Amino acid sequence: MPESVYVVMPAHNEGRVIASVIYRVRESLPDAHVVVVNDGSSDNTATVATAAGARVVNLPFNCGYGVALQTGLTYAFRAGADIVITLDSDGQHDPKSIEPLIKPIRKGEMDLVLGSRYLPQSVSYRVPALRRIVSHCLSLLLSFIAGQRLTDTTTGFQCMNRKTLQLFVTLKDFPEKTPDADLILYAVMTGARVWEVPVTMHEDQGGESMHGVFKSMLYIPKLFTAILSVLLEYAHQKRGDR
Amino acid sequence: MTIFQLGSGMTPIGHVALEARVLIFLCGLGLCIWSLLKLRRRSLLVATCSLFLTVGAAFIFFATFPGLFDRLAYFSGITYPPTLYLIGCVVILILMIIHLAFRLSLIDERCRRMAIELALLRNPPPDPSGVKAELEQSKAGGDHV
Repeated sequence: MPESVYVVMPAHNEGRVIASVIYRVRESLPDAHVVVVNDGSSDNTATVATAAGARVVNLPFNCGYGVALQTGLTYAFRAGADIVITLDSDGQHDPKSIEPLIKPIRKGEMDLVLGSRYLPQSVSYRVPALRRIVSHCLSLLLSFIAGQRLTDTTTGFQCMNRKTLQLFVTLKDFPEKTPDADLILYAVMTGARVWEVPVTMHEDQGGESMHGVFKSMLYIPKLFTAILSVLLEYAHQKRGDR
Repeated sequence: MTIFQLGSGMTPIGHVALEARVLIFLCGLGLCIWSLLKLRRRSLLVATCSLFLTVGAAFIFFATFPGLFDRLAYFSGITYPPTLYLIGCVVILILMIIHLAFRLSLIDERCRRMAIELALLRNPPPDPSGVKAELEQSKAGGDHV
């Protein structure tokens, strides 16, 4: 039986680049359904995405990356998706890398595959030093907690099967601010088979960057709190299972 | 005679002047009336209104019986009674911040869920069985070609 593949792309004011990203996704995966979650954009993101052949889900107002991602994943889950790929709509994640990302899922070897920009074979833009250091420290911490080596825990370029999709969609407290590292950690802790593959990442060509100096400084404590929240949720779930 | 006893309107330390008592009484009364008016117009939550009413009632009570407040302060080990006012205000403010932060988190979470459901209602996902049939059809068509 053929599987239905959904590509979920949260977008906020990406009207300038989103069409080219959708075209490149369709080149890589012609049978996939592309879902753009328009997170209250004030530009023509929704119109451009629809014209490029994507299904557009419009959030009533700007809710943030986490909510947009949760909406896209819920949409895919309710549509009966077997495989879901998440990628940024600002052109940072190269759709050509979808192929190595989806392969282990299709073979049934993995439940969640992450596109890493820090693996030796990865092709990446020059990540600013401070961000690189923070990202490495975070990866070390998460690897320690998860008991598995992870190099890029803030990647939004992921591929998951229906089991993992269900795990994320039914999560009681979906992380609204930092839904990358904590979701990965949650997946690993609940026994999902997680793997990293090298991917190509470009510098974002879109609008506002999420990682300004001030935002980065706020991001760190938020992320640590989010990790703590995942650990608490996991412990709570474990207690409930007993 | 100490510096606090100088002048006609001055009173010794630890005692509240009549003017101050009237002012505190009026503040308490104003707070109670404002809360009740807001409650009548349904523009203030019952829980928040009850807090304001309690604070207003406490103002009125201690303005009417200032001696009780002084005694309460001395029983609490506070030698300068107005300090008890300050501590009370700080504690109430902290409790209010905690309560409001909790309410805000709850409302934020509900708002988030509503936004998602609204978005999915406006743009409903396709029926999974239809998607599967379409896929099988396209696959069969592709294989045929």
